[in-house]
Amino acid sequence: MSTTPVESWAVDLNTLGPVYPFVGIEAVLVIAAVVFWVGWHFLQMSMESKAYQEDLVLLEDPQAFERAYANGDRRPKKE
Amino acid sequence: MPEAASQAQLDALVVIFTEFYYWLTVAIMFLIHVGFCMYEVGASRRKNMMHTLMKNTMVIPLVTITFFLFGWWIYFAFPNGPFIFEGKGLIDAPNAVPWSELMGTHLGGPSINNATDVDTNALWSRLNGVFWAAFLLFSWTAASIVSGSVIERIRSGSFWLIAVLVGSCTWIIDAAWGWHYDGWMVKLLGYHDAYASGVIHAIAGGAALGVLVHLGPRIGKFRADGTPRNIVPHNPWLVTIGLFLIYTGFWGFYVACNVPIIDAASIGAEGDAFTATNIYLTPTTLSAITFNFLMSLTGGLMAGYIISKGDAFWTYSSGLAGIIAASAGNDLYHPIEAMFVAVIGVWIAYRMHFWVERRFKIDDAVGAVAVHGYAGFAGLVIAGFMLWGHPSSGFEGYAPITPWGQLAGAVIMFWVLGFLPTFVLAGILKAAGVLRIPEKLELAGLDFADFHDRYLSEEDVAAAEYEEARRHGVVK
Repeated sequence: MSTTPVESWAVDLNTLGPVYPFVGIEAVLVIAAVVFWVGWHFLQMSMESKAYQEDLVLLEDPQAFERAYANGDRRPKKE
Repeated sequence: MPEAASQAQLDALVVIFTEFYYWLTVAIMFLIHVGFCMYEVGASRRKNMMHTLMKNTMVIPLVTITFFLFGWWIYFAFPNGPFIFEGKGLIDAPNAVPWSELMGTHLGGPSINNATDVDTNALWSRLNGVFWAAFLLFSWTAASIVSGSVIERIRSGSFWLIAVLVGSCTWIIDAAWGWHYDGWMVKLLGYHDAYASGVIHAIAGGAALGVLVHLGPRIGKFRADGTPRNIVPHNPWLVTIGLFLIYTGFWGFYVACNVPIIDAASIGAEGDAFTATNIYLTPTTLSAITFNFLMSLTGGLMAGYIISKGDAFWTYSSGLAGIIAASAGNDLYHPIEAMFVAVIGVWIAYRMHFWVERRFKIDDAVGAVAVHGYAGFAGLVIAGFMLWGHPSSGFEGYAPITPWGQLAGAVIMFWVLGFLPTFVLAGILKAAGVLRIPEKLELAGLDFADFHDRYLSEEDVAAAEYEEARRHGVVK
């Protein structure tokens, strides 16, 4: 018993085609991949919007903004 | 040894050599993406660098999954164009649909469920994955070119949708049209673009411009009177090393655009010679493209140094622009011709960049539209004059290379398949309010939250250390 079409390597290799597990479920795999891909975009965009909202809340604290500004390479000049 | 047996062994060697050849190009081309990441991070300001890195890094999986699902199929299915070539439609592509058995581990024997024949299996079982990957690495490059120009203000999620559009749809449509031995642009226009001045670079430059029009400049890029400020890279050293790595990966790109060994009789020639060919199956040699790669790099660097007055960023970028300008004809040029084509391309790209920036207030953060778009466009048109009358293919009935065929091709690449689709998608994303990051966050920096947490941690740890030091009497 094998999950692949190969039961033994002692055969003429010219007679072997696909050798990955569960040959025949390619359409199901493709559908799963499409769902994974499209779902990832929805999830990521939702996460990104939420992260920006959280950042904006933090930025309401002037000290946090100053820290962020000082860390960048546009450090404000001291008077 | 019987003749049939030796012929079978020779055929097997050709296939396995070709398989290894493309595999090697993929490994080398990976360096292009490493270079793009370094380049973009170096060009961004410190407050944005980790988001900039992730924005480009995630191009890899997103373009890969979509290129598996539909990009590879587009290349084989679309050479007849928008149904204008002899009224033909889509071409059957049994090796490239994502559910094909040939899109997995396959030893070349009979199919189990697919209808592919033995000859198709024998060829594509060995070449499908490596050929797919070579084209995939071109796809990453196309999307990455757009990535650099939009740094520091685009939402990553929106950029990744644009990356999929460019990396797995529009560029591969143009490859099917103009970078395929059977493409309608090759047949009707005599379009010649051996190392992708147009099919990668002009289209990606045009795509970047389409996004930039909607995205707008970074805060502070332009003064009140409209003159541009130079937003300097936070790490110029990283930028230049990144560009060096792109040069290195470009070697893989060049050789991946060739078929390494083919029986010349199968491409319309007489006699029993074997040859390497470009993507159009017209003969060239690896030696020729090595000459021309290095001489066009030379022309680009020398011109860039003079025109930018020794500016490192533009000199390095001009090396790249020089290669890109000469690429359309680098399978055929004399090396000194390649060098001078590069000089002209760099001059046009550099001048156009600053003119467009001033005139239209376009903030192209890394000069990608110029280096890839304008240089690629110019290179296509120049090739039309340089190669005027040369046969675009060994097959009967194809148009020869002409200036007007190349100009039409350049317009299709830069404007029709480059600018237009991303202009529309970016417009939709802008209307939905998800194209650009919030203004306050742009000022604070995209890495604000990371820095915020880090500062709080550092302050917390510093306070604890200070308390410990006091307890030991080290400080009062």
